[in-house]
Amino acid sequence: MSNAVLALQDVSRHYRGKGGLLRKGDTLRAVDGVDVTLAPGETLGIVGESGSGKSTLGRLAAGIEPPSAGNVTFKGKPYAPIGSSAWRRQRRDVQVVFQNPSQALDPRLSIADQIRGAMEAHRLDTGKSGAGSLDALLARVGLEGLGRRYPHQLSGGQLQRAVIARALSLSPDVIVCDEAVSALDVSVQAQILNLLQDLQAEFSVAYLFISHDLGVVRHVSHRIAVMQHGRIVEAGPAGDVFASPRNSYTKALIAALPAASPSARRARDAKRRLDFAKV
Amino acid sequence: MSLRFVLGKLLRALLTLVLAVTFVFVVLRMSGDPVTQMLPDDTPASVVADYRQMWGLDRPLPEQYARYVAGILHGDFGFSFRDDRPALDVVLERVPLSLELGLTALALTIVLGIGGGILAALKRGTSVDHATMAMTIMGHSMPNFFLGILLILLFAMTWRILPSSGVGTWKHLILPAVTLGTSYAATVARFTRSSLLEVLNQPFMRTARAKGVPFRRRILGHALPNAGIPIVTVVGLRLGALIGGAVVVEPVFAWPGVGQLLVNAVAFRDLAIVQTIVLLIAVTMVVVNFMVDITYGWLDPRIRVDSGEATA
Repeated sequence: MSNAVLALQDVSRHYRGKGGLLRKGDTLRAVDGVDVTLAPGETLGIVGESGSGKSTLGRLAAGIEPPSAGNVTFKGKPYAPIGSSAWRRQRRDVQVVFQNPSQALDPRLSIADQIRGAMEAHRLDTGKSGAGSLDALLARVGLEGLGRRYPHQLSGGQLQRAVIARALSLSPDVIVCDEAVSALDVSVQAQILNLLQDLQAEFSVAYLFISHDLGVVRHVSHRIAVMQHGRIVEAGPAGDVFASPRNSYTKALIAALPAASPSARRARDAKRRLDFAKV
Repeated sequence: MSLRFVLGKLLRALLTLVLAVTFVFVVLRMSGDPVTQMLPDDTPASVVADYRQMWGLDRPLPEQYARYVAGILHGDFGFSFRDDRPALDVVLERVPLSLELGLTALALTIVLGIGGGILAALKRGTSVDHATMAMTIMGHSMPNFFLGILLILLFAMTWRILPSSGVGTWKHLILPAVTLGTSYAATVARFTRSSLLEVLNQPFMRTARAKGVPFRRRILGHALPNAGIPIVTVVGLRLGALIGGAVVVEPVFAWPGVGQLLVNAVAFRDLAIVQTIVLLIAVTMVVVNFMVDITYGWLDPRIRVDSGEATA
């Protein structure tokens, strides 16, 4: 895709064993020859079970880990060498939202100070965050008047809102959400997912949305890529992947989804029995 | 900081002081009669009795204690048997020398200890880390006075570049300050290293890096303040002990500070001096502890906000 904001071309990430979990000399192919593109303003969902390499893919996309092979390009240009000052400046464009918001915030600093800190690191005018003033940004993510609170004074959902506000304050083009809602209660998950969707159009930001939870990914993604053993086994528009999965692993993942209601579950089970009878 | 927090602290501090004073008072009087200690063995019993009466040692213990406490409340800390001067004067004139030595040593401890700890943590697993930690083990295991004697042997006896004892110029300060400062630097370095490593592994440190926050800022702005509480605790303990002088190091270097005075006073059963020094150390400890508590609140908002209950 020529207009892609972020593109991973034949990207691999291998870990060489040093005698710990991996035996010496063994190589773990966490990501193995993956092609992924992300268009401006779209959401690409990455699903897969633990160990499928989806978090590694997220770190490669965010540029905080170097690929062993292949190219990661942002707006057509590769990332600068990790640790260089050019690399540091590029961090502004691709933000990361991790799983556990309570650990992603410095416990010593108020929410507003954390956001200011991120902006100051990129010499941005702290009076003008993505949504105008910092107060306006906090209000936009649903944390109106809570800027002076410390992390331990906020709930998990509020903390993730703060983390999202901090990411948005830098006006990034891409946010990598790595299991961004997995640590939250289901009801809070829905709120955060809706918030992310609302913010996407407003801030014209693209999401690389990584989750093991197929239901969550389906809810937010335009396109979905299914990962298994470091490779992408199926990719396509979200509706297609769900309606007619071609890969057996994808089918298994979808079949494992809990049904939305008892009647839906009965219908599904009946269909399964029918499918089984055909075989 | 709530009023309740401060009041609670003050009450505790008072209790600490009363306990310290009482304990020392009783133990000193049980551990030997100062009069027989001071007078020659063949002193007539009547003379001994006279001295006892003169110093009030013939009275029942509770009465002596009551007089002593009443005296303290009026600023009278008793008389030194040996100097025949108010004990407080004798002690206070030693304090500046002990502070001079102690503060110099503390500065050395902070620079070496915190600096070495940071270096070891940032270079974890490298030869720098291993070398620093090996030195701290040496610092832990080598007794204070031994290092002092070793330094005297080398710098004063063999190379003759520094004086071995006494006070006067800054040169006199070097050996005792190095002896005293390095011994505790090992402890501080280990605490700094381990608590910094813990923070460096926190997700928010990785997040800060992923956000492009510069290295210096990540360390100085996020890692160190979060690692600060154990460091402040160990440094605070040292700071509190400063005024009491160095009981071991001062005699080794003939440094006429409070520590040396204490050693002599205990040997001589100079009750008022020992009691005054112990009280002075207790007061300093209490004050420093209070300062450390305030620093905790500054370092960690969780303590600050819950101060009424959590730390009281």
